[in-house]
Amino acid sequence: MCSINEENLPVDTMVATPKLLFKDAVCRRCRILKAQVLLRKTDPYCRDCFMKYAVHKFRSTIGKARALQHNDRVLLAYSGGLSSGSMIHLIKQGLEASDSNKMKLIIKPSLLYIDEGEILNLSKEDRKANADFVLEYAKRNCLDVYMCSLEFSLAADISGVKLQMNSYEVEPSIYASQLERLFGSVKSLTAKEDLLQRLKQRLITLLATHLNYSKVFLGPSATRLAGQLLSAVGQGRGAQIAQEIGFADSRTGVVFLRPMREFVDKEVAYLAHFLEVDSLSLPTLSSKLGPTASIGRLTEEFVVTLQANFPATISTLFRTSDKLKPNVGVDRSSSEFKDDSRCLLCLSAIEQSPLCSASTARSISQTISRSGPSGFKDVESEPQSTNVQQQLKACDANCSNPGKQCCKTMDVGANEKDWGVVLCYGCRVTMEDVKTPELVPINLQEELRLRSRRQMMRQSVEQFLL
Amino acid sequence: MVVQCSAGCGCNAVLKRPKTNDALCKTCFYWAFETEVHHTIMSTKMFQSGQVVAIGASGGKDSTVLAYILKHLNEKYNYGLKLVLLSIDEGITGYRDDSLESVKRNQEEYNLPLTVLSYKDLYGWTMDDIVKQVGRKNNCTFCGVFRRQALERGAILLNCDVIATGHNADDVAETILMNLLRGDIARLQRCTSHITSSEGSLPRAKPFKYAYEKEIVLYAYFKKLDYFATECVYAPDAYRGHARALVKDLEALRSTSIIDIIHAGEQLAIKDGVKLPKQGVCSACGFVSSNVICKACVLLEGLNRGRPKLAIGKSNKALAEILADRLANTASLSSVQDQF
Amino acid sequence: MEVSLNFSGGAELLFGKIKQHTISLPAEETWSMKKLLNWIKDNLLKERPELFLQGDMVRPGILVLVNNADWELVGQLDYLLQNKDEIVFISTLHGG
Repeated sequence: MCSINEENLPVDTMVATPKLLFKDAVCRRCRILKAQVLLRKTDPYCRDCFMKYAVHKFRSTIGKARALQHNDRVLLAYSGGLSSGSMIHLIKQGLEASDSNKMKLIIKPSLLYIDEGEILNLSKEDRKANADFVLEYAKRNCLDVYMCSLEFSLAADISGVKLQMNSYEVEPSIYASQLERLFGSVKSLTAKEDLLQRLKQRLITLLATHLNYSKVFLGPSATRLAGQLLSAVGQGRGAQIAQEIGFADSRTGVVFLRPMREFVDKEVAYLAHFLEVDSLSLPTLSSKLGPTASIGRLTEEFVVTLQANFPATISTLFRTSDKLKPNVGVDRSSSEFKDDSRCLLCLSAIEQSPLCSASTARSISQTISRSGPSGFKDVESEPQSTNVQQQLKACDANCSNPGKQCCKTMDVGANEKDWGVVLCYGCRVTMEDVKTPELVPINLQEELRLRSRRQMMRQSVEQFLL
Repeated sequence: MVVQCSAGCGCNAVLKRPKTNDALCKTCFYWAFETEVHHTIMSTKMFQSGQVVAIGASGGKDSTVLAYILKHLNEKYNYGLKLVLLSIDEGITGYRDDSLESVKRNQEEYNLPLTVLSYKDLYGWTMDDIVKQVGRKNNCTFCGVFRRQALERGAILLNCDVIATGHNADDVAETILMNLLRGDIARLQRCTSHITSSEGSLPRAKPFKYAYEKEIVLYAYFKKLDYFATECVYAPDAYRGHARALVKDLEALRSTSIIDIIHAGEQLAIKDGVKLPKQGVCSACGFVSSNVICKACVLLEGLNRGRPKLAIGKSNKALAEILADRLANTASLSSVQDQF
Repeated sequence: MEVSLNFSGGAELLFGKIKQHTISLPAEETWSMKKLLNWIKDNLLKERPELFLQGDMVRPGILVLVNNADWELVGQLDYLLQNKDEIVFISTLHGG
């Protein structure tokens, strides 16, 4: 049955561009040279004009955000891929520009490479070969490179991390097997990819803080970010779009910047080709899997396919996301309150759950489905601020042992229900697919105890105030 | 393999709930589904006792289940509402005439008064006529814009206080993605609210906002509710299909993702200083509009001038043209200017 | 007729990780890009052809350059190969 209304009609930007013929086209900018590049399906450029345009765009992305200061120490996260490789080339050009050139970059960069080989089931030899490629790349660009393996994201603090500079050896560590077991226990590829992102962010933050870098450049392109935007929405991370897609992300204290975010994949490919950027044949978690392997894979495929037919897709998504701000929830002044409202895994603010909201609807559905008509006290319109309270209430209603360890919470696992106190919605969704949450580097039990106690104290104080 | 009901009632389960992955038996499912809709209604204070509620009834599954459930909950929990069915006849031969038959059967079965309003009566055009003018490409634009206003006009005519529509969680998730894709920041914020109301228009309630389409279909199926299931004879818009397909693919990957998308949508906060279109009223018909003349009036004007494509595409251009004509013919120049 | 093929950005994963290929095609036939893609599918592709081709076309997200110019500027599938042509396939897709 049709449910089209004014709310969901298509608009102009969704009009497909007509197929034009560009045989022997001339550059639309200099109008002299033969075009080698076709942007937005309508604009032919020669190589020189394209490169000028690209360099300008790169610098204006960095410049307009005013995020950098002279002589800032910046870590450049390098994956071995085309996008981060092109980013480093562009930065190199900026550093080497003459002093009089407006385009001169004055920063102090080093490379950072995180070896994800452990979870990609790469052999020791393959990991070494990849690291050698990165080392060679750094050397050729006269930059220092810090190298670290992903498994150290599980270390409690920097003292447990093995960080190497300008050399790399894969060495066994207790964290390697822990990481393997952790990822082996994750039910879905979607959750694996999300967990990888969180762990990488955690490790980079740890390293950057230790090395005294306050800024980190990441290399995702506009196409990748547009896919990630839809993927974030699909995983309940609406409140975090501004940080995860925008130019700057300062959730962790270290500022992550995304200077390649204005380049669509096609532009990145041209850039890499013209700059002769070589890339590593690096598999990912979803390599060689179909487009429905994970939410991230599905949304990327969706964006790429749509972009091919509707060239305004990515820019429109960006225009929308650039108008969003991080939803920090209720403004709480004291620092203790602030930490209590942050997600332990991604460090975003934990969303509030108003009585009528999707997150409340989801948890009410759970309670209802598991209690059945006979064991359920009518929810009516009493406020239920947290899952814990709700669980207590559902428990009081029909538990032979009210107030103490509940019959119901025990069989679903005592912790799962309480994650709402320490994790944001998106991380909760991911953790539902993780069968061995104890391997995740957060001290859930301890933090839960602390936060619950502080919450209880606040509640009792509030009662007195009434 | 026999799965037991998650609620522990001892019965065999008949379905797996996509929202929570719990398996429920028929009885527990009916109860859970109804209780959740009741919760949505109560927690948002969607209706007040004594109100007249117009149920937008298309004859399809969503509105059929909505009429059934609202009647049931109204009696069970003493909401004190007067429920009426309101159908819009777009004038699509072979589609609407059949579905209206199913609405009429509902009317008898549920004993609710039914009013049918047609595009022909309201606008002077049936959809069949419009398609003859505009072809099969932009017809959904006309239909969608006209339907929204038609429901409103009908509800006012019937002295209703609020309109309830059968929009379900899948629809809301799709609309969120759609508004992201078309860059409509104002609608992106509005589309997740439980009840949309603005000055001068009737509030619209979506009691099924958190109910999965799958569960609505199963509810209708198990309860053997009589509804009409077919696609409109005029092919739906191609691009729209994309967003719907994405929602369905996401649901197949992880069934909770529909409610996760809605959560994401509810958490989107617009930066300070971002300009949003101001909601005003249409200077021609008086209905809510973010432009001086509402989309429905622009479309209608185009049809009546024999230039149906006027408002398709660059709507600002069309607006400017119509405004220029009107300004030339009207003395109230200043009142229109004030609205700019 | 000799043609050089280069796969990068992850596209090489579908070709046994080998980036550079030089192939000889019978010069007495005319070779359009369309024909070449079919030839690649039958002779070079090691696995998952659907990750490289979609119908007759190269999958969206893979950029094709003919002698350093976008193939959309030379006629895409209809382009007729010349001796010593350099064809580059750059995958920009995450999953490779």
